[in-house]
Amino acid sequence: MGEGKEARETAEAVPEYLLRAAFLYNFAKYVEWPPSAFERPDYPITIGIVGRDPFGDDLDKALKSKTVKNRTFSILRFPRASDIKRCQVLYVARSEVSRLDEIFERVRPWSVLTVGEDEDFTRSGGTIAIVLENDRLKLVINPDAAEKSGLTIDAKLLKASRIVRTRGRP
Amino acid sequence: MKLGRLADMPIREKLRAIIVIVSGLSVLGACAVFLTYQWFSVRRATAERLQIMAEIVADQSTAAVEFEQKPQAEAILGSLKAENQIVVAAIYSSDGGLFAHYTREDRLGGSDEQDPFGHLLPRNPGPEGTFIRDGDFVIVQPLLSGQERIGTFFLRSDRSDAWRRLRVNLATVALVLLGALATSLFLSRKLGGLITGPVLRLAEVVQTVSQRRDYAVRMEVWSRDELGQLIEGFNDMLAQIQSRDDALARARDDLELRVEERTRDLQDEIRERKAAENLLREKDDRLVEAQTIARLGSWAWNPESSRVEWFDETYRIYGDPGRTFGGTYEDFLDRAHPDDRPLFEQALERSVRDGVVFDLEFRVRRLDGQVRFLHARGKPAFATDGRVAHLSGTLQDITERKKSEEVIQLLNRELQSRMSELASANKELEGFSYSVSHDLRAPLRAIDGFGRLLQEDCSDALGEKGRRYVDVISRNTQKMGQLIDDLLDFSRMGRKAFEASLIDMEGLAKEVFAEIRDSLPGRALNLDLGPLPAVKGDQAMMRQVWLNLVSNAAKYSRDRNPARIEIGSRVDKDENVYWVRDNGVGFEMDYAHKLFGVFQRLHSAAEFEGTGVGLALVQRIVHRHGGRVWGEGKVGEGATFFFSVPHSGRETPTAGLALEAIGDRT
Repeated sequence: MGEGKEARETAEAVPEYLLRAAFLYNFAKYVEWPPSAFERPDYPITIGIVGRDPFGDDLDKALKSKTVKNRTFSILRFPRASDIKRCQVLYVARSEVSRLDEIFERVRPWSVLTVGEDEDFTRSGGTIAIVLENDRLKLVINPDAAEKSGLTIDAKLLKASRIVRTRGRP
Repeated sequence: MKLGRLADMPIREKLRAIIVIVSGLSVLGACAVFLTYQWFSVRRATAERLQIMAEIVADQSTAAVEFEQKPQAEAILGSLKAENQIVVAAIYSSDGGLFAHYTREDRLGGSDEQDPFGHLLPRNPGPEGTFIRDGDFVIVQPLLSGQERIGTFFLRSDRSDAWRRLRVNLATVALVLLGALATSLFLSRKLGGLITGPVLRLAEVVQTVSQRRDYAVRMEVWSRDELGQLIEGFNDMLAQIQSRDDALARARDDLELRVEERTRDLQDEIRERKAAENLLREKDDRLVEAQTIARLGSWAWNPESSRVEWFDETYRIYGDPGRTFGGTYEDFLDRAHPDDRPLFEQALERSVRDGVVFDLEFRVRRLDGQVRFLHARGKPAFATDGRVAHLSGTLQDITERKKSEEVIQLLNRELQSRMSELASANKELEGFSYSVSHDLRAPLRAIDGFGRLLQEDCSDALGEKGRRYVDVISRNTQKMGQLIDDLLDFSRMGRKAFEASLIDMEGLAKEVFAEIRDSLPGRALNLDLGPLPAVKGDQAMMRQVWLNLVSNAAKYSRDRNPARIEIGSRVDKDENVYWVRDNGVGFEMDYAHKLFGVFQRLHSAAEFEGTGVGLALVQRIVHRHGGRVWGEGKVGEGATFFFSVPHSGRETPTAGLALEAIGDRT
């Protein structure tokens, strides 16, 4: 199957974080937030980045003038966990790996899709992790976390991902 | 079953063939429709199913595609394994490159693995849609996430299922067809009999009828369908044919009879006609002959054209063998004698004018100068308007006849004068003989009387010699008296009136014979009397005839014992002939002509007494009756005397006289 080679080339051609940004955009397609997640119906989907922003302007590029379900996107950057304001998607940078619980606690009242960079993230209670494996970005999803957050993840996304459970949970 | 002309197949086969073919075709048709429908239906269904599957799977894989999760995408594609017709399924990314694919197990390995761009997976997905490529289904669909196109879904499925199903269907169809054929064959055999049975029976009957020409056959009708009607109609027809046949036979017989009759009639007709023709020809020949013999010529004159035609004999009559006759009316007149010409012309003109027959005796002056008498007759022939169209007739040279006529007239005149001479002479003679005999009697009586006186009174004085002398005188006197009596009778007979009545000749002859026999007591006389027919005549005269003839017969057979006298007769056409035959002395035939003359005797008085008047008297009487007398005899063997009496029985004095006169002369 020669397409592996091509895919690799593609992956190499596209910068990693642009792809991750694309993923973030895509997540909005496959995730359903409860109506309470948005203050107003016309409010954009807010994507927050907590920690050291790895995207640069990739995320802005990826989300520029895109809409999902008639909502535009807005990006918020939170240097620290305590800066986290209400958003629908929270990208947890690698720098914040040790402060996961705090972050999860902070966003618990809001239905926020938490996205990390490694599997451990999901085992710790994060919803989705975009993991780089063998030069490829893989998805790992913790459905319980999604459920806990009141999010509905499309089965298709689930199908495209590896499913994990929160550590310690049956 | 012979495959000759299809139309000549027997009905049973036809029916069966029809049923089989029809049911076969129907089944086949239905199956074909079914198969076709199946095929397309299956194809559509398959296509639909595949499309749905493609949509579902594609939809399922959007996340995997968007997130470029190839293994997951391939896993999702792999779920298409369930549809084992699907050979290959692939997702192409939005730039057209192959992203993920699924290949059916049996196609794995070999070049397909290494080279995805084999015939199964195209380099580019190609246009969207559902197609059939190389017998496979190909579905190309866009992969959408929301409104965004994220790639292309490609699916290829073979149609092995369809083919398999088709095979199965075909097998089923074949089975069904077979079953249908078998059933129809079976049923047709059974049920066809309903139709073919009666038809075949009908055909049989028809055959029989036509072969045996037996039109009395009828078929029973057991159904009211068209066959029943056919059979009824057939029966009807037969009945008609039968009656017509009978009528025909009768007519034929009749005709034969009539033909026979007609033929016979025709034959008779032909025979008659032939006979008539022959007769006609004969008559014609005879006519021509007659004309020639009679020296009768023919001529014809056409007054309009003034032409006159002569034929054969006419030329001869006119003495014109060279046929110089000009043929014109003028020539015709010219030939006549100048003295007779005006008469001739007049007669001709009158005939034409009045339309009467032309009949004229006239003279001609022949070319050789001879004058001949001609008799011409001509009949006019009339045209439609009543005019005389032409005159035609005969011509005869009557010169000889004319001459003969003159001679005859001369002779006639002579005859008449002679006849009157004769008549007066006769009368004189009669008177003379009457008076003579009368006058002669007186002295005779005296002689006889005185002679007797002498014998009685002077017998002594006479002496023997004297008495002998007186005896002789007496005898002679008596003889003379007898002679005179006979003469008297003879002459009386000439003057006596003729009283005609129907005479019983047989009775008369018998009576006369009896009288004569009685007068000759010493003689043996045998009479052989044949039947004598009655005849008209004078009874008294005829008595005299018989008397004379029979007494003669008796007399001249005096020397015979017995004397045989035969009296017979025969009936001829116009007369009765009677005869008296004796077996006496007979006479010399050379002198037969003298027999009947007055005083003619063939035997001397010494031999046979008699006056010689008897036969003359007989002749006279018979002549007066218009008959004839003659005799036949042979010396020593008897004689036969014949006399004939015509049936008319009228007196013919003149003829008698004439004959007598001639007889006297010879």
